Amino acid sequence: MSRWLVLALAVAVVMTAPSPAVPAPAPAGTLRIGMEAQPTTMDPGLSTDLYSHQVYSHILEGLLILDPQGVPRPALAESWTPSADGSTWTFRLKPNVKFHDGSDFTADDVKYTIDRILNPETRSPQRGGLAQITSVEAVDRSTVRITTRAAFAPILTNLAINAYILPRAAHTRLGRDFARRPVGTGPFKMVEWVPEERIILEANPDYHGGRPSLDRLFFRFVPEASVRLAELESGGLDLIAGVPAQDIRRLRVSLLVDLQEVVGTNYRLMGFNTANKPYDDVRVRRAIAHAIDKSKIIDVVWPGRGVVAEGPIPPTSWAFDERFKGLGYNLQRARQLLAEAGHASGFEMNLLLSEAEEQRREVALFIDQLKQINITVKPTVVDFPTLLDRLLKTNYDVLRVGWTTNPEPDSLLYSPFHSSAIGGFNFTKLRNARVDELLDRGRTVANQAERVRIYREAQRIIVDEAPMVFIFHEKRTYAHRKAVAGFQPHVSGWIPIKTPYGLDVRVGPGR
Amino acid sequence: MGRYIIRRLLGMIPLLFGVSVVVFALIRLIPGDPVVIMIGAEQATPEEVARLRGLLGLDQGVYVQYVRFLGRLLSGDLGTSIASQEPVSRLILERLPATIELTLAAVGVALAIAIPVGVVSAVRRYTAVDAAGTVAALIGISMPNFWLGVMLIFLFSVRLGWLPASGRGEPAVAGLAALLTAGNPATLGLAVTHLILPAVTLGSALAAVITRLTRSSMLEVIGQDYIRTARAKGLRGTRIVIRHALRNALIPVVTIIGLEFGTLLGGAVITETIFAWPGIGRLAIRSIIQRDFPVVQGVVLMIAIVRICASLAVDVAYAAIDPRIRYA
Repeated sequence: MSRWLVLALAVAVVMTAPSPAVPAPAPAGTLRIGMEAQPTTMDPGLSTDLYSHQVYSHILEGLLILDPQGVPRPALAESWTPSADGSTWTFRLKPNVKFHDGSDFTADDVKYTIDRILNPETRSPQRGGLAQITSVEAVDRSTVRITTRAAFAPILTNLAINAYILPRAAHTRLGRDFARRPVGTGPFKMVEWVPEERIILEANPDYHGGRPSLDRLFFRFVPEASVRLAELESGGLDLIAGVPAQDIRRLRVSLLVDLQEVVGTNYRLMGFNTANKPYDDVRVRRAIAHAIDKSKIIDVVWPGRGVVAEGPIPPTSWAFDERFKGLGYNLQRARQLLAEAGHASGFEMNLLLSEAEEQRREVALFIDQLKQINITVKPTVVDFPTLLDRLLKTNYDVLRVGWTTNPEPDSLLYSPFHSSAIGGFNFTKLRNARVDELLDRGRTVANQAERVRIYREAQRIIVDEAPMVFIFHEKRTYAHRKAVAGFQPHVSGWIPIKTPYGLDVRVGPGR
Repeated sequence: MGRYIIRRLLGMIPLLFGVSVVVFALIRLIPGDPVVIMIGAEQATPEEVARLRGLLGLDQGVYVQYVRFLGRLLSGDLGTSIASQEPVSRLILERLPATIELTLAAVGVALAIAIPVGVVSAVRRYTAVDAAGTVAALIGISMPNFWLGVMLIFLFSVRLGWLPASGRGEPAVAGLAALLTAGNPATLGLAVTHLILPAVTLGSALAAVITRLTRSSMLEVIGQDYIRTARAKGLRGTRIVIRHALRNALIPVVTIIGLEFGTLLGGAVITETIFAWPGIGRLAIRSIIQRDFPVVQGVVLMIAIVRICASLAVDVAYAAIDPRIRYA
């Protein structure tokens, strides 16, 4: 018998994890959020993944914050002014702000945070967004001066995304442990993180933007979309990000749940390797663009989950051009262009795509639609990292991929279309002098109206050059129980709960 | 016995060495760059990628990387995650208990269903009970567990509202501890209600296999001379079945549990994903998608170790069940 006792004890020892208090079953004032995956880290300098951001953005704050439309608004900075040449920005910090550990927030913390990200030893994936910064200067306790290599207008958006401010003292003291026990200025404080199971945050009563209405945030990580929805509908969760496609129509009329949708800052595309024949001929590229019936692809594969893309700039972007029409469905024009290019009898097209279920279903439509202009589609399916690898090595003819960025048009356009990014993310190898010039100007001009004109012109040229077929912009979906009030979906897929620009989610009675 | 166990443990070393070579090579053979995935597409400039690759030592030859990995491994260091910069051993140890709990519970569910059904099927051979058991076992073997899992959630969580749809709640051991030390059953209740659906999902296929095995093994034993002798001595039927027949019929069942334990760990990857179970399977999937090489290596090594230990435990268990088996 003792043999079994020893075995049982051994198992018990292995399985005894530190046991936290049992969470009470959703008291009023607790919002239970279902995420698609667990965050990687709570140290914002170490990760750019969406899921980490969905949690740490409640604990820490940047100088600025992007509102649900992606416009930078004040957070830890009250105001900012550019120098005459646009290369230096002076930020006035909000006074009397304290970190969760009671220490004061000062210009010193801003300098520490940005310098740390820029320091190569940190290995920060956020560095790319801040790489234009040459110096950060704490002028006094509440003034910071940030200088960039040249005038760089996207810096405001990038500061909001890439530079969540760390408390210098606490971060230095905690070191690597900060990634599990973050300390910030945000509306919520870290309480508990049980890996893969839950994260609990509690309201920061001293939040500089006012105490949040909610007492607690309870995050769960449920990778399977149908199970996430089952949890929502059976009352185990209050709000979920990422709704299963087949349930969207049903949820629009649900009595229990509200569906929230927003077109994300992204485009889903078919890209051509313009160095390979016959895709080096712009007429061939335009012909394929004209032969693809985008609405049909959305209706069949992405019902209710996308809007037709005229070009790379989505309707939720401030640079969107509502009058612009791209290369629409026009078989006659497509055949004519192919004939002019000497391919009236068509050719075989190697199409590379990832294993995502929807993309495989799209292929049937591509095959059918391109057959109309005598093009035979030969699909190859690979996993996403492999696709990305072949994209970066431009080891493909035609590929189906998506481009998702922050709301700054510079991010939507610069690296996929500027010739300096060939060998990087300009994977179609588009080289157009006017596009380069416009994208460079877009970075240096501070005037918003002028930037809108610049990006609209760049979009017109890019669509005309047709290095890609812009198929559709994908929506981001959220669902919550009716008792949740005040939630707004965010173009970047974030989950805003309590913000300095006035958003404050509540849970009413009758959950 | 002690010497036998030591010999088996020493035998693990070359085996694990082989596993480490294979996993190290395989994860690097598939295309995909962890650095690009980590930075995110819109920010990954070639310079930035090259810089990070250098800092992470990914620009070195595969041989150099392997020797370094092995050197660290010998001192018990599994390396650092590329994605989170946390020690791999910590990431694994935080999740392994949940996976072991789920796997053991699945074995428990399988045995609790399979042995009574198997025994009754054998004793009442060719009756309706036997036929029903056979059909149920066939369904259990054929049903993919991702489908079963979703169906169970739909029935027991969404429709009936009896059990939670996902998550672990609390560790079962913590629940047991709370019950024994503080007399508080709430934690254990939370743990068990969360455990039922994933354990049934994961254990169903094994239950089916064991049912069939118990039935055939019992049939063989029941035909043996000593059973007839026992009957001739006038022992009661149930006593013969349980004391004399079942104990001997269980030996092949124990073998199959040992063999299937590894399969269960593999199946746990899917079950964990469906039920949002906080185990090692989800870490494995995420690290493969992120091409987080050190984590993938660590997880595979750990699963190999658990699997080898399970087969050792089975060999030791033979001796407990069958007094004729002795190891020197």
